[in-house]
Amino acid sequence: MTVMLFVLGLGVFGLMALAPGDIVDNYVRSQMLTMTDFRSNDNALDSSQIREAKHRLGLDLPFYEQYFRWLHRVFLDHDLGRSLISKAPVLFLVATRMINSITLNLISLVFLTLASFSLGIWLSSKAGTKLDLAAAFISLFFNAFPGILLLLLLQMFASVTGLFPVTAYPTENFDGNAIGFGFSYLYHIFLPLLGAFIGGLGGSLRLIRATMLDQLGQPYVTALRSRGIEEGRILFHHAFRNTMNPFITGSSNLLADLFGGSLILEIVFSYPGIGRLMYEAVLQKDINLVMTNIMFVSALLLIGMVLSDLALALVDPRVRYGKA
Amino acid sequence: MSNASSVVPALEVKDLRVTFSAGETAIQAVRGISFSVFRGEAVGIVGESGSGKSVTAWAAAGLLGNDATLEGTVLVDGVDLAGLDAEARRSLRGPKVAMIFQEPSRSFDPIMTLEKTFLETFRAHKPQTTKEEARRRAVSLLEEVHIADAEARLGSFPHQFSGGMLQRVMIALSLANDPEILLCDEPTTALDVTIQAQILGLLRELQLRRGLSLVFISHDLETVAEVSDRILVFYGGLIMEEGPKSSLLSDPRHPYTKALWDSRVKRGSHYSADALVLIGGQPPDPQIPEPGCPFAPRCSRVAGQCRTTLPGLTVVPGGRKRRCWFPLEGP
Amino acid sequence: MKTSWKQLVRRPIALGSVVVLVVLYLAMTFCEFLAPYDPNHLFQDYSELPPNLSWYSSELGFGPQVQSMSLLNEVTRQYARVKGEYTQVRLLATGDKTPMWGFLPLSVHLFGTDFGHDSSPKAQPVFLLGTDSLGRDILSRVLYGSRISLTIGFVGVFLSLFLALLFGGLAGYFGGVWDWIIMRLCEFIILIPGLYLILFLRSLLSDHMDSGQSYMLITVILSFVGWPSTARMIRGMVHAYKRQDFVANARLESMPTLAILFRHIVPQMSSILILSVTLGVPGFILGETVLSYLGLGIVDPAVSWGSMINRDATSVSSMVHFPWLFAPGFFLLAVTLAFNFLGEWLRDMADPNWKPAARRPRVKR
Repeated sequence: MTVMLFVLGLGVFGLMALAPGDIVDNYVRSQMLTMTDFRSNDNALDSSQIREAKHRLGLDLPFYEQYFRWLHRVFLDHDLGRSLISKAPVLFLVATRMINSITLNLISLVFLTLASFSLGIWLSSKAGTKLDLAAAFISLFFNAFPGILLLLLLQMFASVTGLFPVTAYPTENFDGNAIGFGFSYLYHIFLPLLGAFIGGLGGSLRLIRATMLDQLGQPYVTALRSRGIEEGRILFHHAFRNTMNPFITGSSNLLADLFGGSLILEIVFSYPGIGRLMYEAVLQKDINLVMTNIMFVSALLLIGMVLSDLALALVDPRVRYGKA
Repeated sequence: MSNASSVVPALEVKDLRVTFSAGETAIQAVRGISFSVFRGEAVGIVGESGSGKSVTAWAAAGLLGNDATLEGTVLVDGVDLAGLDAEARRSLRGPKVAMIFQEPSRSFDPIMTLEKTFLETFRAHKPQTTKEEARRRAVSLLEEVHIADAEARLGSFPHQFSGGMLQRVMIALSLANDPEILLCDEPTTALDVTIQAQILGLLRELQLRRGLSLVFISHDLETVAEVSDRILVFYGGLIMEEGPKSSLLSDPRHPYTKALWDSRVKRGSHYSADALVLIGGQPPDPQIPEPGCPFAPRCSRVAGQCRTTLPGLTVVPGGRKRRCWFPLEGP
Repeated sequence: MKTSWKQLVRRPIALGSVVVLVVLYLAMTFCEFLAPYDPNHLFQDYSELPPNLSWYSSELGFGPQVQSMSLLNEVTRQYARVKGEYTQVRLLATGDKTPMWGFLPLSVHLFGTDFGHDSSPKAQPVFLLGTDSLGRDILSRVLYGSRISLTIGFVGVFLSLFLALLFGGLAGYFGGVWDWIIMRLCEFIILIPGLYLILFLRSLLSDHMDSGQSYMLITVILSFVGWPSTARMIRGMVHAYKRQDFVANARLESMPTLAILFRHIVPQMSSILILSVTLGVPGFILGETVLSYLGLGIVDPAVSWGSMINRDATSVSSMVHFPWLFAPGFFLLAVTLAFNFLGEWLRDMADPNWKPAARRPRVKR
């Protein structure tokens, strides 16, 4: 896993090296404007000054060397650098926003899993009925519904009715009033969470339902029935538990999807998460921030994949023991 | 031959018709089947795919789905299945009627150990079964089906067994609640020939020891013959011929039965000069039933009303029945 | 996969989707004719006007017409209807000069009014979907914008598909080291959540590009992010297919590898590929829309649905007061839903076993 991260970082730096020249130049220029000894009276910077600045920043080195220097700085000096624009230490920015995003996405994940499991099981026991067909259509509809539209509509709804706040960060302060903060937080994230939930439920539900139906059509289910095992037990204890493996495998990207979706969510609802940080960084050409963001998010997702591998082994003894 | 002693048959099927509906199309898989299985008797059902043999067994066990419409009567130990609700039918499966299936490696929940599977099977009908009691009974059942090292193997998962062993375990599970009737739906088709012989022997042994009423289904007449006292020949959703094994095979009255028996692969045929005898043509398509005898398109003796009128099942002395306009007359 | 017209007609949702898509793509092709006005025509006196088509008036009777509006309040852009002043909406009216496909001279449009003609000084322009803050007809902008939004989907998908076929096919066919390298590459790209990767790639490139360059750029970025998942699937299938006899035959005939890939193996996968394309297009269209909405894609004055949403629909207050500005959103919704429903139907056709309404043995009666 660390190897992957390492190579990923190399790739990121490499891509940056591929970037057309004027990006680096712009970056250097903006850096230079903030460095005191480059201030000149007319703010015009000639090419030799640019070259010198590049050299100072180490930007004229080949990309792998830049990468190693960066790694060196990060791991040995524990210095992720500073954001170009806000001058705040990158670590601080990324860490706080990351926690916000993780909280939001975890809550989302929990609700999504609970709802799609229970609905999925229930619906599969009603396979073929009109209710089931209607549910299949509704899940397809919401799966296909563009997330951004849903969020914008929800925001409009909030604004028109005034029932919910339009931005997603709570108004209470954490230090003063933890419970108040908690409630305010939940109140504020309710609508965006609803949007993420509706959008994600469609896909999850279809997956679970399809996997359950697949299980229920397996010979072992017939064998169980032939021995007089109750339907309810077959549904929960057998079919559902066997759905876990394909579900975990099929949605190891669930966390990734959630993070990707939350980016838009954070922008529309002004939630201070890592997605919005990334967006702002990109808009402002804050290279440091962009890079660190990418690395952090990828690291997080790699962890997620490892966790889901663990969950798979827990849930399925075939994975644990292998073939005899 | 048959040990039939009681008057009430263990299983009685009267004019069973099963229709499957898939959207707008309706397929009649079983078109009027009647037969009885007496206590302690082993009845074999032979037929090609689509002949309705499996569907009949599933109907007898009450395992057919919502897309199947049943007409006719199925009586298990004299009790009409139609009069029972779902829960009552469920309680029959295991203690009265048990079934084993074709693909043993896919007939087990892959994430449950044998021990848990046995426990669940016992508890489905006797909820108060303790774990120790379940272990004891499971071990004795596994020994009954000749699984070595039974106690140790209880903690294993299905994927840790071979196909043949799993079939034995499936048989053991099916006997867990002491059923009277055991339905076997092609249990040896997916196994090696040597294992097949072992399983067949096992089934015969169990049947005799426990006095089971056995219904053995296969597309292979030879296999059926090894296990059964009496044989039913299915074709196109109907019974074509019925009779005691020895007289049916030595003196078949229905051209299909004769063709089936003649087409079997005889030992040594690999080196012999004899060609394989095949039955030309295809099995009937249940979606487009023939107006007359279903076997007419492939029959060598077809003539006259064969194609237009369905012959009835005629009883013939010697416990035989046959459905043919131009039956083969025996010696 | 055997599909037939009859089967399509049986499923109203799939049929409806096909109709919607055909209509939209036709509209896109002929937008110069169908749209009443040039998308950049600024009607300065008519900014932020609500849709103004009405069907009846005592003056002109039944028929499409427009009632005159006059501006009440400059700040809140409130308009009042002027009593008694109506302009008729005509079919095949003469209006703005908009060369068809850029070169065929055309000034007749499907419908319009006599606005701008010296003979009718009181004539009002017709805005089926209202106008934006600069007084540009929303309907015309949506129609012209569909050119970018709808085609990016296809161009992107095909580019992505080509890359996936190339890399996935080579990986599956040759196996070994190439397989390993390509699969690792795919895993990397899949690892980073799509939008983050898109933003990152976008950040590497300069800000100031004309719309043609932006278009190409967005397509390339989206394809780059999209090809790995399809490639993995293709690689699996090629792995399986290459062991089959027809490939061995082709090899014996000394057919070059790429030819084997594209002329033999690919047709086998055609139903999966068609499915992949159908379900991929809405993703690409959405990708462009999101990018443009974020200001990182097509920017004003170039028109795409995303850029329209970015311009007009980001401020909640403007949405509440001028809801017709959200029109591109609904077109987007229609297209996305249509492609998804169509894809679902195609999936049903390709693999009947997959049917969600599957039969399940259950005790009957």
